[in-house]
Amino acid sequence: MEVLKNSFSGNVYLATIAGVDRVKENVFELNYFVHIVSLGKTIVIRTSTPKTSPRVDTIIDIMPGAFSAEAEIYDLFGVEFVGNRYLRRGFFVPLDVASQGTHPLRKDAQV
Amino acid sequence: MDTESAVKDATTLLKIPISLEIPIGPQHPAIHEPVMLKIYADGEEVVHAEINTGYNHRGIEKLMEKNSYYKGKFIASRVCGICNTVHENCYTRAVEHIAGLEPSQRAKYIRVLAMELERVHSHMLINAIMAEVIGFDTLFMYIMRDRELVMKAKEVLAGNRVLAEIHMFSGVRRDIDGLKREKILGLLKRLEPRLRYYRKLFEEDSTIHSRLAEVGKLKPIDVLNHSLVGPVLRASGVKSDVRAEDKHDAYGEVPWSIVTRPEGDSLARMLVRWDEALESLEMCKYILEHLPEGPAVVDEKKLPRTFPPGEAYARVEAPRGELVYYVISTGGTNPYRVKIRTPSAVNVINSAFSYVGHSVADVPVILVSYDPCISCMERVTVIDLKGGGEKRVPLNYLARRRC
Amino acid sequence: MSVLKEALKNFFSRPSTIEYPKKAKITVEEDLRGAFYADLGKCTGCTLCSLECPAKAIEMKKLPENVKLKHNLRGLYPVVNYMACVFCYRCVKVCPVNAFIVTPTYQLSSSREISSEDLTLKTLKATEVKQ
Repeated sequence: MEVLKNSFSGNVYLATIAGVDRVKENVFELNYFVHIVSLGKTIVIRTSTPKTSPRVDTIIDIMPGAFSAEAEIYDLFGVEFVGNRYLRRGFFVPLDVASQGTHPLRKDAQV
Repeated sequence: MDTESAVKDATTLLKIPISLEIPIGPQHPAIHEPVMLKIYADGEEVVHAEINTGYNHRGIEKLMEKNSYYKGKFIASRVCGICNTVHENCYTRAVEHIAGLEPSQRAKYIRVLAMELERVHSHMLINAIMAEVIGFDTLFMYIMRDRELVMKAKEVLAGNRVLAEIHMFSGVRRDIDGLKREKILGLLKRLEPRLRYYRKLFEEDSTIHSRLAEVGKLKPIDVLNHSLVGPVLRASGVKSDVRAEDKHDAYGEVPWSIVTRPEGDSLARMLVRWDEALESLEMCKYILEHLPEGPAVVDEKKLPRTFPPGEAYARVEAPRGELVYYVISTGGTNPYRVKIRTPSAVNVINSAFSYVGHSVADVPVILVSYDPCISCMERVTVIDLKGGGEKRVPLNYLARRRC
Repeated sequence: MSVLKEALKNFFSRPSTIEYPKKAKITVEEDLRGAFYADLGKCTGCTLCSLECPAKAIEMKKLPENVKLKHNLRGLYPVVNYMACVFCYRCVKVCPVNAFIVTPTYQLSSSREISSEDLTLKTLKATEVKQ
């Protein structure tokens, strides 16, 4: 991510991070969509993290705009971002669901 | 339980010993939906701000996985009431990419007409709200009265004033004939001098200038780092617009230009919106005079029931910013995952840094200039920490306080 | 006209409130998406409208006892609940025989008006009702 930002001299912004729960391969797939302003195009970077211990490094120190996307994915999927100290459980999900400890967007969650 | 945890939270986070936490509570008459902004103020100056969301979460992404693609289109319309046509457009284009359908030329022009009419009425609405927040109620009433002309035009075009369900996969659902065209053109001609007058008023009036100029200044590098989109981006000098970059539907053929301003404060953001509204009006008139011939309406009985596997990422320029839909399909009648990222989610949540250093009375002005559409996003709550109690202060109260 | 001049003019004229619904004249377009009901002369009872409704507002009911229709073998007809309906017109467009009659009526508030049963049953012709 830092290489990308430096190579375009800071003219990029993070569009969003989309999380997908792949049941068949048993991973969480994360897609980072980055928009390059000078070219006018959007590119996607894919990573996956195993479901048993989902931890990914945070990019909030290089790109502070990832705050809302990372908070949403932590709340709805349970993927923990190492280094981001603003993650909270009741961010999007209402408090009665969050207290049960379920992460709503997983495929096996009953809401 | 909420109050105690809030107090505990605030006292542990408090870095400055003498500081007042002011909640701009979820229920207030100035903004349509509930939002909580936690502001830590030292005297009259804001030192720290936090945003709490989560009051309006309706579980739409999970709901779309359980319903078919066609019902998903109606659900996508209802994510937001003001920008419903652009939500439909984004979802429709994403599914058309997966299924390999292509709309006709006339259908593309009618889609652009619906979206541009919506842009005009949405910009008029947010400017009216800004006028109300700074106390200029008369202007608010007059802008809303003139907005009725646009709602009537939408009713002539689509059959309903607010929710124009005009998109369908590979085309549109209704068509225009000569009589409707004349009606819409007449309404637009009546609207144009009013829009020009309001734009001139915003530039020259001294009340608006004293409240809005130099408030909430954002540098371009800050805006890009924090992923703010839409008129916020364009009012800081960055030339970026989804309509010009992707050239989807008929935007490549209708002549228009991107509007930017170099200053980056709240007044620049509102003026960018008025200029965009005038551009949209010109585009609507051009489309009505240059409609191509051909079929536009889709026969809904002949559309496929199941869709092939694939994925699609579609972007569209909503009146508030850049709206993104990411649809994944693995075959079958229901989508596997639909991800919606609305512009208000990034504009409001990521912008907590921009309140620092301003006085408390400037906070509503900055918030409204980002154009929060909380039903797209969520709420922001403000917590008041003085004396250990939670006091909900309406936004109007804060807006009218003078130092 | 500028805001100040218009405000002063309105200050000295009479109030502009119009009583609704006695004195208000509201004109709507003829193809406003208003109330709609099924025409029993064409409906075949296939229940497609009920399956496709996003709001689950259509319920299929059995025809009354003394009515036998040639083109409706199952004997079902749709009844719309206007309190749940969102007026998206998906049922109107997806019906294979175009059996819905549309009107621009939008003022639906009495308990008699919120269901389309009466309007639908009126479309039965007298010859089809056996005595």
